Parts: sequence; C-alpha cells; structure tokens
Amino acid sequence: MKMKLRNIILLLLIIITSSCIKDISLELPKAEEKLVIEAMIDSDDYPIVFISKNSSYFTNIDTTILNASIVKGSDACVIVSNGAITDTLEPTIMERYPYHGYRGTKFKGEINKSYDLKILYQDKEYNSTTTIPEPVPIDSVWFNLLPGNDTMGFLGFKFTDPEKFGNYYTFYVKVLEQQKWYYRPSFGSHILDDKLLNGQEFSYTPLTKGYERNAYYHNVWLDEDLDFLSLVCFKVGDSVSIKMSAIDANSFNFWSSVYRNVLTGSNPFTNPASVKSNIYGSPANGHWIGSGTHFTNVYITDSATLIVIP
Amino acid sequence: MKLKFIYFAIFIFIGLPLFSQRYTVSGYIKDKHTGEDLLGANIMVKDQNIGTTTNAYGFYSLSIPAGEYEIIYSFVGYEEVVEKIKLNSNKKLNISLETSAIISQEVIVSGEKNKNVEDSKMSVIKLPVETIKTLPAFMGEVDILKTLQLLPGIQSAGDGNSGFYVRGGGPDQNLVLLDEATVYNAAHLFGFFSVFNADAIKDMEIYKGGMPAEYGGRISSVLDISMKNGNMNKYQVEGGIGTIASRLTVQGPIVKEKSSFIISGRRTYADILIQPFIKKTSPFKGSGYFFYDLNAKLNYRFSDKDRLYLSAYYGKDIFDFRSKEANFNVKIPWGNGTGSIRWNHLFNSKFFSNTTLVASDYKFQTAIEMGDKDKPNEGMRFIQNSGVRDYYIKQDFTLLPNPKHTIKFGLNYIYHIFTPNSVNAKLGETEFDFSSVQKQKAHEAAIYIGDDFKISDRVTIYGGFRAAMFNQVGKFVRYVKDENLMNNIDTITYGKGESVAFYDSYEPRASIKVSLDKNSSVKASFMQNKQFIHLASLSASTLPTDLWVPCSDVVKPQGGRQYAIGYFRNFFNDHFETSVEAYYKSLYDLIEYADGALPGDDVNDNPDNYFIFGDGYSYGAELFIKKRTGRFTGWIGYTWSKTERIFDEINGGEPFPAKYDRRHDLSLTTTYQITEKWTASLVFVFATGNTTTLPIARYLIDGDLISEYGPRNSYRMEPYHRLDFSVTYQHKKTDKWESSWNFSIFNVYNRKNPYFIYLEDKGSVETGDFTTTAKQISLIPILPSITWNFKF
Repeated sequence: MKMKLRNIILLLLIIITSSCIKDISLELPKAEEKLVIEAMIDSDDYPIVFISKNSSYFTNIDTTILNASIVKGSDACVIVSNGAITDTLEPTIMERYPYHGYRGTKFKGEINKSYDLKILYQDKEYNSTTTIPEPVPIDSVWFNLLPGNDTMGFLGFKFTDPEKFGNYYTFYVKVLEQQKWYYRPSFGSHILDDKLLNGQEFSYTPLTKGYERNAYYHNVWLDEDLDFLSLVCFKVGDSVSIKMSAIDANSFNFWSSVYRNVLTGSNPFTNPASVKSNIYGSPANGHWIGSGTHFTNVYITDSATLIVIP
Repeated sequence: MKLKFIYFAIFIFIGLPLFSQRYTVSGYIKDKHTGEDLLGANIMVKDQNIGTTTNAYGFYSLSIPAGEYEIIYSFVGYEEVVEKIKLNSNKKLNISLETSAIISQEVIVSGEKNKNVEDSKMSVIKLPVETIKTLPAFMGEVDILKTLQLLPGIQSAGDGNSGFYVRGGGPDQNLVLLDEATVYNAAHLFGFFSVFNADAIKDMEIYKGGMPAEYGGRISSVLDISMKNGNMNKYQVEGGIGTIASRLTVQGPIVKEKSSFIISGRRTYADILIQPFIKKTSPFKGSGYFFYDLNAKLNYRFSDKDRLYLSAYYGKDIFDFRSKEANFNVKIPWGNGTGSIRWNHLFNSKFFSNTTLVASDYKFQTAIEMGDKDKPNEGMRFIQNSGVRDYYIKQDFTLLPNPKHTIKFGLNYIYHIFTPNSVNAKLGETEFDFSSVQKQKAHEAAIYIGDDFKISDRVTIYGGFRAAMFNQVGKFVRYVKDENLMNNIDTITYGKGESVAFYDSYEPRASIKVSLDKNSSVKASFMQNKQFIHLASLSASTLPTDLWVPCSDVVKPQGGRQYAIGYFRNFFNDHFETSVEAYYKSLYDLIEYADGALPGDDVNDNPDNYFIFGDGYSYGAELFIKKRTGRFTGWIGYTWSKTERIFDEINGGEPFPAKYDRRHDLSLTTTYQITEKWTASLVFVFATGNTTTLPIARYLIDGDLISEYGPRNSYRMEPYHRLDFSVTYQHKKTDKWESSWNFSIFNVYNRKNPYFIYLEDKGSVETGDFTTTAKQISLIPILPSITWNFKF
C-alpha cells in the first residue's frame, strides 16, 4: 500500500512539475547592429585589435554566421596613437577567433603611458583611451597534483599587492609549445582588485589551464564526451607561462561586467547585467585595455615540482 | 490644567458655539455572544442627519443638543437596535448587537449602508474576515492578502511573488499593521500564503490613497488589520484541518465581561507527511519546508474608561536541506515577530486616548554548514543574517467635540535597528566576522493632527498634517567608493550615537466629499508623504531575501504625492454599490540595485553603495461594482493603469515600465447561496502580463558568449488569468457545534501563467547545431483541496 501511494505521489509530482515548463517563442525587438571591439595594448608589445559584430539573439550560431560577423582587412581603419606617433594598424591573421585582426608596427606599449584608439568603419568613428599601469611581479609559483592523480594538477602563485589602493589585475596562462595564445583560466575569475587585500600578500589558487572558449558554447563540465581534465589541468612535463597584468579601473570595470553578465544571464533572481563597454563615439560593445604585463614561466618536472624558466 | 488649555485652544481653533447646550452619548458596541468589539458599526440619530461610527476599539461618541431621540445602532450582519433616549445629561450607552438570523444571505462585502457614498474618505476598503472565508481558498488556506488583491487598484505580481502593489507603488510602500505593530514581511513561501491566520483576524481596512494623518511612514497604502479580542462570555474552540495546514484557535473569558484571551496557531505539514515516503537511507533524509504562525491576545477591561490589550504574533518559514553524503546542510529560516501593548483611556465621553508600545522584528537567515561533525576544525560554516527590529511608542488622541468634528492628533517615536546584511563565516579554524559594521540604527518620530469636519449635510472635508523626522546614528562605518564603485578609497567612522544623516518630512493630507443626492457623491483627495526605509530587491521577483535598508547619508527617503478623484453611487436601495476613481501618483527618490550587483558585494561594504536612484509615476482609473445583499453577492473590480520609472542609469534615463506595470487588471468575485447548507463561489482574475528584460542580441568577447539586453522591462510576458471555484457545505448548526466542509479548486482550467522566462543553449558551434530556446516556467497548475472547519 505504501509503495503504491508512493508511486501515485511520484506520478503526481511528475505531472505537476512537467506541466510547469513549456517552450515559447519570443518576439524580440530587432537589435541594432553593433561592432564588437576587442582591443589591447600590452607593455613591451604592439597593439592588437579584433573587430566582429553582434548577432540577433535567436540566430542559430554556426561557423558561417560567425565568419560573416568578422570585420577584417580594409573594411575598417584602426588607428592607435601614443600622443606623439600615430600608427595605422595592419590587417593580420591571428590564432584565435575572429582569426583576423589588426596589429601595430610603429610602437610598443610603455608603462605609465596613455594610448588613444580610433576605429573608422562605414562612416562611423569609435574612440577610447587607456593607460598601462605599473606591473606587479609574481613572488612564487607552485604545483598541486589532483588528489588520486599523479600526472595532472593545478598551479598556484603568490604576489604582494602594493601599498596604495586601486590596483587591478588580470591573469592569463599558456602552455608553451602546445597553445598559441594566452587564455583566461577555465575556472574562477581572471580578474582581481585590491578591495579586500590592499597591501597584502595574496595567493591565487587553483590556477587552471585555459582553452579556446568559443569552441564550446555550452558548459564544458557537463559534456561527457569531452576529456575534461585535459582541458582544464596542467600536466607533468608542461611548460607554462603565467601572464599577470596590471590594468586600469575602466578595464577592470569592463571585465567585471562581463562576469556579471555571464552569471546573471537567464537567471530570474537577479537583475540582468549589461556589459560596460569602454568604447565611445558610436555605440559599440567591447574594450580597449592597456596592460602592464609580467610573465613567469615554469616547467613542471617529472616529480611534479617546478623549475622557473628565466 | 494643561489638558483644559488644549481643549480650549482646539475649540477656539474650530470656532465652536461653546455655550450651546449639548450632551454626549457614548459607549462601546459589541457582539452579544462573543463580546468582541464591533469596529465601524453605525450610530444614527433617527430623523436627524446625524451619525457616527465606532472606532478601532468599538468606541463611539455623539454630541447633540438636549432632547429626545431615537438612536439606531446597526452593523452589517447584525440585528439593528433602536434605543430611545432622553438627553439632558451626558450618557453612557454600551450596546450589544445580536447576529442576524439571515446572516448567510447577507454575505456582504463591506460595510454599512450607504457608507461608501457618505464617508468623506475615499480609496478605502474595509473587509470583514467572514466575507473572505466564503471565497475559494488556495490549498484551503483562507488568505486575507489574496482577497485584497481582488480589489481594484491592488495587485499581486503573480504566483510566486510575495507582497502586493497598490496604485503603482512598490511592495515596500505598504504599511502593514497587525494590532498597530508593523509587519515587515507579510508572506509565507514566496507569497503563496499570507502570515495572517484568518481565524485570529477580526477585520481589515486598506487605504489606497487619501491616507489620514495618523498613518505615516509608507507612501502607498496602509493595511490595518485587527486581531480578534477573544470571546468575553464563553470558551470557544475553532479550527480546521486542511490539505497542507491545520489551524486551531482557543478563546474565552478570563474574567467574564472583563477580560478575555485568544490564542491561535497554524502549521503546514507537507514536510511531516512526506517523511514516511523518504527512505531512511535517503541521502536527503531530514530535508523539508514548513511554516507556522502563532497569534495570541489578551485584553482586560479595568473599567468603562480603561482597557488594556496585549497582542503578539510570531511566525516563521523554515527551509531545511540536508545531504548526508556530502555532509552538507542548508537551513534558511525567516519570519516576523511582533508584540504590542495598548492602553485605551477615556478622559471623558468626548476625548479618547490610546497609548501603544510595540516591538517588531523581521529576520532572514541563511546558514550553510559543510563538513564532518566529528572534525570541527575542518569544513566550513557560513551564516548570513538580515533583518529589522523596531521599538515603537505611540500616543493617539481622538477628540469628538460635536458630531461635526472628529479630531485626531498624536505623536510617535520608533527606534530602528537594521541589519541589512551581516556575514559570519568559519573556514577550517579561521573565523570571519563582518557583522559588526553593518548594523544601521535610527530614530524616527512624528506628530500629526487631522480633523474630519462635516461642514453641511452635503459637504464633509478632511484636513490633516503630519510632520516626521528620521535620524540615522552611529556606530556606523561608511565605505567611500571611487567613481566606478570599484574600490573603497576611504572610510568614515561614526561613533556611538553620532548623527549620520537627518531627514524631515512635512505631509499635508486632505479630502473632500460633496453629496449630489442621497445616493451619490463626488470625492477628491490629496496626500503627500515620505518613507524612511526602502526594500532593495536584487531579483526580478519579490523574495524574502530582499533587504530592508534605511535612509542613510547616501540614501534619501522615498517620497510620494497622490491626487485622486472619484464618483460614488448606490443603486436599487443600496443593493448595488459602484464607484469610479482616478488617480495620479508621483514617486521620487526610489532605489534599485545597480546593473549586475551581486549579493556578495555587501561584504566589507555598505549595501547602499550599490544603489541607483530614480523617480516614478503612476496613473490609472478604477471601477468597482459590488452587489452587497441577497443570495447572490460579489464584486467586479477593474483597473486601467500605467506605471513607469525613470532612472538616469537605466535605459539612458528614458522612462521604462515598472515590472508590475499593468494596463488591465480585472477581477470578478461572486458568491451564491444555493441552499441554507450549500454556498458556491467563484473568482476570476485577468491581468496584463508582467514585464521582464530579455537579451536581444549576443556577441563574443574572448570566446565568451555575451548577452546584450533590450530596454529594461521592455518585454511583456503572457497575460495572467485564472479561475478558482469552491463550494462550502455547512452542517446543521447547533448551539454547541458548527462544522463545514470547503472544497476548492485553484486554477480550474490549468492555465500556465508565466513566472519567469529562461533561455537555454544547446549544441555547439563547431558542429553547427547550436540552438537557443526560450522556456517559460509556471508555478501552480490546477490544485484541488479540501478543508474541514469546526467550531464549538
């Protein structure tokens, strides 16, 4: 009897809960076409700019659509100025989406200097300004094996935040000789401010491996076909480069809003968060970020210890 | 001496003929059987156009020239009583009214004959609990807030949203009073049930506008709920066994005719019923949800001049989730407690005083524990508290110099302690305590005076004025942010008792009634007020996690101004009451969380650093048609309205619709007495869909898919509509025993009303099968329920 009753209750529960979700079609207003600008200038490197376009929300995104939204070659004119020299960036093939970009040739980024960005595209002008703050060095790096695994694990590192308030950081990693680009770590945030840690020593752990995110638009950790651990863990034998950068408040603001957008997306219990573009002039999404970079390269040896590569 | 001076001053002020020979007849009106005070009962002098009603304590007073009169005492559902009096001195006349034999056919929505037309007040509705009890009840639980939302101008935000919305105001702008104590959170389980157990409630009154000066501190409405006093004559037990909850009320005299008590409890038991079906070995054994309420009241009549009331309410929702396997336990309790002591004193038959002491408390807690109990030094514990505690003292006076004037004046003081968010955590052996800096303390005080003045048989005016102040005091730490709100650039520390912020408010209130003829009148009203607290909601729906935050050095009081005009007319010898009201309301200094604010932002910070500020307005028209008497009773309420908000930071400063902006809101409520035993009722509601914000485009940033949102609240979900039906079977009543069965069906045609919409991505770009679908979540399907009610 009890068993029966339980089945009935279960059945009722299923009916009730399943009747509560239904697919609907939304008639959304047509979105204005906007440029998506990803522009950066690192200390001791040439400026790089990627340009693509947004697409309507319910467009079934595939590679054709993605390729069609890339702005490349002579379509746009990208100009960076350091106040003294003006550099018109040259179209270049790049190793990450959108694969076509623009790279500077005349000057590299310098610490404590400001840079102006100007993009001309179809009679519209886009502008932004950024600065390159003083980089902060990493003090030490370590490696931890995953429990029960003797080849894979995560990195961790330590640095000391300077005395004065208002330091903002980004962290990127790259497995040397395997990956072609510095990626954001797969877990956690790649940005940090000194709101809670001003002037203190800070340990960032675990630092996970990054991957090219646009290859996966779904939750990678729910995909059973994927070798998830290889995607997010470092292996014994890897040489890893950690790029820690100091950025300005505006740039931090941008990344912070990206995380909020991703976190609040489709969540009915929060207000939707728009990404705060720091591109002005004409409506555009994206950023212009100057980074004071500091690289630390390490080699994970057979005994799962680290050797810092000078 | 002092008192005499006040008297004198007031008399001069309103220019009364001091020397005309007038006498006062005064007293209490109560129910003959239970001894309960009858609030709002009518007292009319026959063949004279003079009358009054009883106040919130059942007291009335009428001053008329010497002479012989017939005085008619009446109240809905009671037999009229006519007393002949010869007035040549002041008289005390306490009246007991007998319940009408035909009460079941006189199921009356509100009030007294022609009251809506004659009263100078507008935008006010009074509902006796008996009316509410015949309507279909969700899960068998009679709910006064749900019934309230069937009235024009008062909305719910749909299933799963607690709080109600009055004329475009927010859910925090309603002053909810239970025996004069403020109730901060009036809902259980995300609004599915209200905290008011109908068995313990006598009646309620709501002001949607034209708020008299004795009320303040909220800008949209006042919901004044009175608890029953308890039967003065005999012991009585009343209760109900329902589908998800049971109730029990015991009341009776302590000293007959002098003192009585009532105690009432209710608890849901889904958590208990479900336990046998969860295996002992289940990893989630012990998880569950329940809520309970306890109401208690005691009153003592020292003499005809002095009465004392003690009222208390305590209620909690408890959500408990346990996972044995993961050694993981989440407990989320939240709820209110209120207590009030009131002392009524009659200085004389024309001068009534009420002194009130109140303590009110609302708490919300999340406690998360992880780890092995045997290893206390490992694992983690996280406790987050938020809440409000108020201590309140209030002195109100009512002066009835003659039938033309009802003068109320008084003062009050509140000490608030707000805990917007305090976090206490333990990770391994390390303790983190962020709680001390977060508390915000404040003094609030007000004085008021108001006079309801019957200028002539046709014209009555009400004029009132309220002055209020609010003072936040230390200890307090203000974290000063940079312009991007990204960093604390400084902190300002205020010492204990040191003033942090001061605000004042001057609030004129006025209304006028002009009778066109015996059955119709035109009324207009104006009110202006401020409120010193805000409810900050991170979510698109109203949840118990929403934070009550006071005004501070960065948050200003929210203010409102409302203009209303209405036409009232009764037809067919008062069988039908109708009214049309139009209003315009402006709101200013409202708050919202900044775009993308997250709960964690509060840690080591002030929550109000993440607010943005703006204004709003609402206008609309309300139609109300009510059939008061007969076997077939009920009402139709229809509201047309528009509610918008303007925030510099949202939509580029362009107005946007509030999330509960509703163009159309219709409700139909009917009750039909089929036979003496059977009653059927039906409720139908229709409302324009809620607004929501949806993404309209997307793009890639460093490989992440980013959503670009359309204008705030620019998407309207499907309309909300629903039909509820119920039948009540009343067993033959005897003097000793009464019982009835109520069968309710909620959402008869199983309408899937939208709660929220979410978007789901599937597939991958590489393989070209990436799709996004929109899904709509609804909460309540068709739900039948049975309740058995008894009384002996």
